[in-house]
Amino acid sequence: MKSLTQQFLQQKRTTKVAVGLIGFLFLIAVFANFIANEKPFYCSYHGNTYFPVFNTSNLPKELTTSDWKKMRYDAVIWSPIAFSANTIDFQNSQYQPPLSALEINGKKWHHWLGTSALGEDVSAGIIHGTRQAFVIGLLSMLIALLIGGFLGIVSGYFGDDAIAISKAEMLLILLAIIPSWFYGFVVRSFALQDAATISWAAFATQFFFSVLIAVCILTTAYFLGRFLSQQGILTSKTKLPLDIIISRFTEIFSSLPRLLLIFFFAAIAHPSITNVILIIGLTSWTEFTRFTRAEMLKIRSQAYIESVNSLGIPVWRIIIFHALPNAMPPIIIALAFGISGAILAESTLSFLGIGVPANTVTWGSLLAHSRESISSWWMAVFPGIFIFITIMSFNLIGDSLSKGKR
Amino acid sequence: MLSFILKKLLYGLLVVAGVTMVVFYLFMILPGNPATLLAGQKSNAATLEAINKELGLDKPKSTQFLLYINDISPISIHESTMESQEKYEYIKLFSVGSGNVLAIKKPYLRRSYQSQKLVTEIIGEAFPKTFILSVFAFIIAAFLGILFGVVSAINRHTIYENLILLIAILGISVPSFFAAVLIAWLFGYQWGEFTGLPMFGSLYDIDPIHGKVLQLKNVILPAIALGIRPLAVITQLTRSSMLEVNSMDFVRTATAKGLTKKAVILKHVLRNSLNPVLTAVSGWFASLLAGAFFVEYIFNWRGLGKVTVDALTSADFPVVMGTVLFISLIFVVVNIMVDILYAFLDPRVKLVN
Repeated sequence: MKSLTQQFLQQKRTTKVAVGLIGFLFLIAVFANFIANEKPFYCSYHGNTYFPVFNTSNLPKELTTSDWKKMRYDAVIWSPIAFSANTIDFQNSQYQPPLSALEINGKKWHHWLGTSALGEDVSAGIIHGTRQAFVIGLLSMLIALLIGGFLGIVSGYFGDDAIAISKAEMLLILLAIIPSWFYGFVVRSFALQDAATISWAAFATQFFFSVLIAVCILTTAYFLGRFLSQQGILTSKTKLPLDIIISRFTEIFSSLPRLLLIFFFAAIAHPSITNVILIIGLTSWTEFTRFTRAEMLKIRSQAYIESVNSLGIPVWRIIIFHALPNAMPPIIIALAFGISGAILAESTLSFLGIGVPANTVTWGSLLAHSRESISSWWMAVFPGIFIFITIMSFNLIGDSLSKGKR
Repeated sequence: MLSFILKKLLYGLLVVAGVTMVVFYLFMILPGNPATLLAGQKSNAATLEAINKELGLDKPKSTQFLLYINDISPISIHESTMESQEKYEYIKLFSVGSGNVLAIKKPYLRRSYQSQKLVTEIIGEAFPKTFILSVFAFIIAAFLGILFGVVSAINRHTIYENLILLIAILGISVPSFFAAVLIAWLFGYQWGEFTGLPMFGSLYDIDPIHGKVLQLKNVILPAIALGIRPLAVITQLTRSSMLEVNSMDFVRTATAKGLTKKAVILKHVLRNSLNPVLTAVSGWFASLLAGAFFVEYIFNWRGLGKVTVDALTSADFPVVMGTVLFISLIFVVVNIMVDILYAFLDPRVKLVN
């Protein structure tokens, strides 16, 4: 088993370039606020020192209420691009080409990649768009990975015959599904709806309580069933066909037209980044299930699993510390392609103006605005190049990883 | 074979049922009251109540779901009144119970909130345009893709191969909406005078003198934009498949018995390497039909995608539900056909699983 660094050094040049580009874009995403910000990085005003990018709470009133660029500072350091994504520049409104500049008190602030209809800086928009793309791409794939990985482990490692429960337990659990659903969700539906209108966190807490209630009822039913079967009622064991259930479910889910579902959900949900992440994550886990299941099927019959099993190590430890690390490579490949797909889906959504809030600047929304003015090519080309580079780099990484595996 | 087809059909049915449930559930959680959306804000309570009754919104959700299924199913049970007959345009088979009839009809997908037109009618108008666009894109992609694949497989380690591989990588990684914007801007606007092609346009132009005029040249740019991605995929598939077949024994035999290079490639290598390409290609056709959203939206091509996106942005949900159902149906049908085709073409495919 080679370490990741060794693998990286053996890769082709194009792959190295791709990894480098992703790293570069990731840095842009992390430091977006420092690279493009209308506030100065550091300023000295009337003898006091401020760092407005980091901390806006101790600023004097005249700084927060007026245009940052019009103030006279004793000393000042601006961000490399002195505009935020939403900074409006009336001097350069109506689509000014690249390199046009905002001039205040004889000092020039360049719009390196041109401006939009309201004079918003395109380069600042692209840099903040990088952050949105990475946040959405990475977090949605994390959700997909968690769901898909869990289902894949269950169906692949346990298969159809590893888990057996007695008839009494099964009967009671099946019976308990209805009351757990009723008391968890139907009775509390008003509380849930109420919380959903207040805030995301409130809904999450309420939802957690609902799930907790449902799980409590189900566990009680399970222990009741176990008690019954210990008393000698309905003791015969049935094997749970987990693999069949999960892989059929995955198969059906994966043949739904995914992009269409994403559109549909996003159009109906309240526009927010969180919702977009959830929607993309909840609809793209099938690949992870497939890969994890296939790996787990191979791994569970290996000798080393048998040996740790015979040592009496609990199953969850075997899965986490022995099986999962060996199943990683194909999952990482799926992850690379998945992130590129998620970023593509995000930019598509914001291009169509569905799901992403109207005031959030993303690569897709910049591209969409380019359609309002045909001659302003810079609004289309630069964000497009960024989308293209990101997607291509992730695809190249995925490709080279899957070739290295063979 | 028969059980294989039946199994695939059963899966397809399950998928369609799943989509129907998702679509219906979304209809339930829609923001706003469908009745006010349908009748407008200024309608009185009686109208709203009538619409609620017509859509069955006054009934419990489980009943509403059954009603929806009844609406979209071709064989269904309806009241045997004139109103109901007019609404569903059904053909009566025989009476069931009191005042109800079992009937066959076209699926009733309700009416658009915006134009009050039947959704089935809207789909019926839009689908041919999407189909024509997809066919053109498909022809471009298949023809050029196979050509590029063959050329790059024959001329290994030359400038041609590298160029074609570059095109293939570009084609896969460029998002289709970016490609569409770029193509529309470059060929329709910047070089529009040379190419003579418009930036936007649908299959028909409305002309004050001639009425509807067929504008076939409008299809060129959207077809290219739509075809780029499948073109890249087909190129790569053909290339790798050609390379695989090229190293087989029968190709060496054919060369050894003195056939010309051209004959070997066309008659032996290409013919044997097209099988995987063919199946992949037919699978792509379904996603072309379904995935022409941005291209249609950007080129203002009034197909299914444009209709769906417009309906999404104007909250015209019956249309969205209808198109989503229709597209998933296409998806399922094409996927089943591809599976069956694959089983026919390559008997090595295990029919059991």
